[in-house]
Amino acid sequence: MGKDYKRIKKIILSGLLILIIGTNDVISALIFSGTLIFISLIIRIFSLTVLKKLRVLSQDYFLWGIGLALVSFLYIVLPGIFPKIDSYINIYYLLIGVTPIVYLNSGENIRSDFIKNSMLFLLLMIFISLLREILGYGNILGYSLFDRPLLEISGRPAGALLILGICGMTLEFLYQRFNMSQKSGNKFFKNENEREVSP
Amino acid sequence: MSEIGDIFWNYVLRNNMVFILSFGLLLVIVETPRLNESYVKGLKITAGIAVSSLTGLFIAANISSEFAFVLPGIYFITSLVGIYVINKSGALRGQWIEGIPRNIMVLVPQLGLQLFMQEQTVLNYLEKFFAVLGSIFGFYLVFIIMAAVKEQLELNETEKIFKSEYILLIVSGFFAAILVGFNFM
Repeated sequence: MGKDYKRIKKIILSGLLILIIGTNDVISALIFSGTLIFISLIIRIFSLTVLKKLRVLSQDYFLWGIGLALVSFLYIVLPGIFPKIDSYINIYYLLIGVTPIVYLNSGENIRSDFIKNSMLFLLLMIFISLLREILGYGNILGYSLFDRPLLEISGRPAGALLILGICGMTLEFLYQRFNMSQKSGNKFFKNENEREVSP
Repeated sequence: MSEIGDIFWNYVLRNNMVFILSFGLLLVIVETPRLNESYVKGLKITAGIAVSSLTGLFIAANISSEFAFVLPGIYFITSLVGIYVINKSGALRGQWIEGIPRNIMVLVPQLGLQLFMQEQTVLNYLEKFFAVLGSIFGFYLVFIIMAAVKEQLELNETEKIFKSEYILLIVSGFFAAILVGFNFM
């Protein structure tokens, strides 16, 4: 439970937080997630094969450049192949190339965490986008459910942050409720760790 | 002059690059230190973002529209220059999680801001310059505001759940709603 909770937290912070504003509905969430998983896979294969043989200085920057180049290529090519996709991709699509989750443990075995992280990212992205689409637009997969939006803010950036925050809080509550013995850990507050050390 | 002022404040508030566009939100949530340290650290990070954004803006203004497809690559290089400036100042060093350096977090606001400015086709070069200045100023303000919020959360004797990162997301959501003037109601 604790490990899975930390994994979800890691995915929310290193992936969803950046891309969630760019996805208002389930279809765009699927496009974004599919691209992110594809880019992660390519990066992982590249760093395990080519990059290990080449002695490249500043491997991180090199990988980020490759990630961005791949996304930019897809950004140009995809609307030409699938014209309908054009309305779902925006500048956040290009940011997939520099989203930290793409480079998580990129030098390690493909089977290690990649599949779990990818599937969790996909599920979380679809879940949040589904909530946003239903509440913010009254639609589901483009089909109208309600005459008017239930909660119009959900379709806006503010709503995306609120929904993500509330879902995260619910998760945190459940984790603390069922795992009182385990500390949730605040690994992501880098500076809090520093504070513990400093007088 | 007032038009330029309007553009500046529009990008400080209504198009804030942290709360509204969420480009710098991860950086602000993870990297904000104590309030009294945040003034200097915020300046260092903001300087890096300013270098990359203004350089990117200058190059984009002087490049032919036929070569627009190379702009993401140029923006990436200018972002690396910004990261170099930040690294030199010692603001973001070391690893964040699982083999990821901390400076990838600053790549998102740098690249995002430059791409966003490229989309603002209604603005001319001078207006874009002030829009970038507004965005950078907005980022610095938010950096300090979030440092203050985080410090207050840590000082308060409350449940641990209210000290998590998710509270900062909810706070950011409310700030975003305020900045757009609750125009969804």
